[in-house]
Amino acid sequence: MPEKLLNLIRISDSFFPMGSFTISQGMEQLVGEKLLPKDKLTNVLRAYMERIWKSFDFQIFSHSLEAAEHNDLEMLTKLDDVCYASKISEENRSSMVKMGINLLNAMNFKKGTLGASYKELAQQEKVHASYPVILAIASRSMGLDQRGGISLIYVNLIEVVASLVRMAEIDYIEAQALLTEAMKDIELKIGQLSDLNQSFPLVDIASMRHESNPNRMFIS
Amino acid sequence: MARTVRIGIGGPIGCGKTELIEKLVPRFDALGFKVGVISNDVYSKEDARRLALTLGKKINPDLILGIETGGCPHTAVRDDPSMNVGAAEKLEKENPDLDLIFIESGGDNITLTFSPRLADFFIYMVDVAGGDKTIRKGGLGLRKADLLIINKIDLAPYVETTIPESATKTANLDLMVEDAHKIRGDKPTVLVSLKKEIGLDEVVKVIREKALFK
Repeated sequence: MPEKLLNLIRISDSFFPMGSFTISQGMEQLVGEKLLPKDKLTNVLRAYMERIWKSFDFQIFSHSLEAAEHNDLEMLTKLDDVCYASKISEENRSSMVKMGINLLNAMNFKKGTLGASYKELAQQEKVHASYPVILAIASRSMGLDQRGGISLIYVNLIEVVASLVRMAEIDYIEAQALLTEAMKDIELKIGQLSDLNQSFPLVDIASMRHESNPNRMFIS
Repeated sequence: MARTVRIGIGGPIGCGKTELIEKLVPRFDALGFKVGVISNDVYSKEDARRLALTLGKKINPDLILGIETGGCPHTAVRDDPSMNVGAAEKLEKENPDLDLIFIESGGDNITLTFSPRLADFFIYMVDVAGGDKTIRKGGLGLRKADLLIINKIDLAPYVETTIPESATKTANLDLMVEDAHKIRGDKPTVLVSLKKEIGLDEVVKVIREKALFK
């Protein structure tokens, strides 16, 4: 079996040590406030997909990949800054960066490579290490290139759906049905940087309220 | 970056993990060790909050971190301890003179172990009120732990034995220790009562000898 495909699966797996199991992307707060009727879950996932993951995170990933292909450290840093600044709630910024750092730590970059340089910058706290940017660097390093974007979509989907299972909002079979529906007809197109956008106020506000929730299972 | 000694503490809910930390931190502080604490609460930051209140006068509250575990206490310290490792590295980076970090797992069952990449030394705790047969059930946590602590020994006279072969009607501490030796060999087992402060000196001694080497 091709190594690249196996690596793609490996970094998308919830067993991969990025701490993704601690993230609900606002779901915990929405569930707690009873703002997530079961019959609306597919629509909510679709909204995440269109308004955040495809329109922004995937775009950051794609442009970071291009920057990585040209060894353009300056551009990578800029994209990292933009990605970091785009997350309105502190806990979303923090969890995205933690995932990025964990991904960097799990990678074994050869000395002198872009990945090794970026890892060092992250350790010195000279870059944020936002997950979509690091995923691009990792994808380039593993020869996954644009396929890494599929991992980004999948990891985000699993974070949200798995959190619903752990909160006993849906069962494991319903989760699979939800994932099947969410994975249908996904078109990933690379747009211009000037068209970057993300807007999901429901989730942003929920995340901000989650920050001060004393009883919670998830970091975000 | 220098790495401190990290000690993981696991055990069932209510066995006394948080109280153990509350008792150990002042002792190690008095011995001149600088201590940090990471508390994995399954559903709240209650343990971290309690530790900040009870230990706040002994150690800087910034040295106490709470971590949410996504409802997966095992995963957070064993399969994917990246968030805990990140928290430990944060403490170490901000406090280069830190000697020791206690990492408290969320209350869990007998299969709990700590990833060796997270904890250098693993303490597993049970308590007498949980039943004296707990030890003979075995389990990874009991077997693999570097130190097994049996807490609440003062309650033994008030708890009915759950071992049919026991010569006593109440919780049989001798059998618990015997079972522990069968499962753990020569690895240490210490009987304590945190409430009455029995056995703590022995716990400190074991940690100093086998984890801190000083």
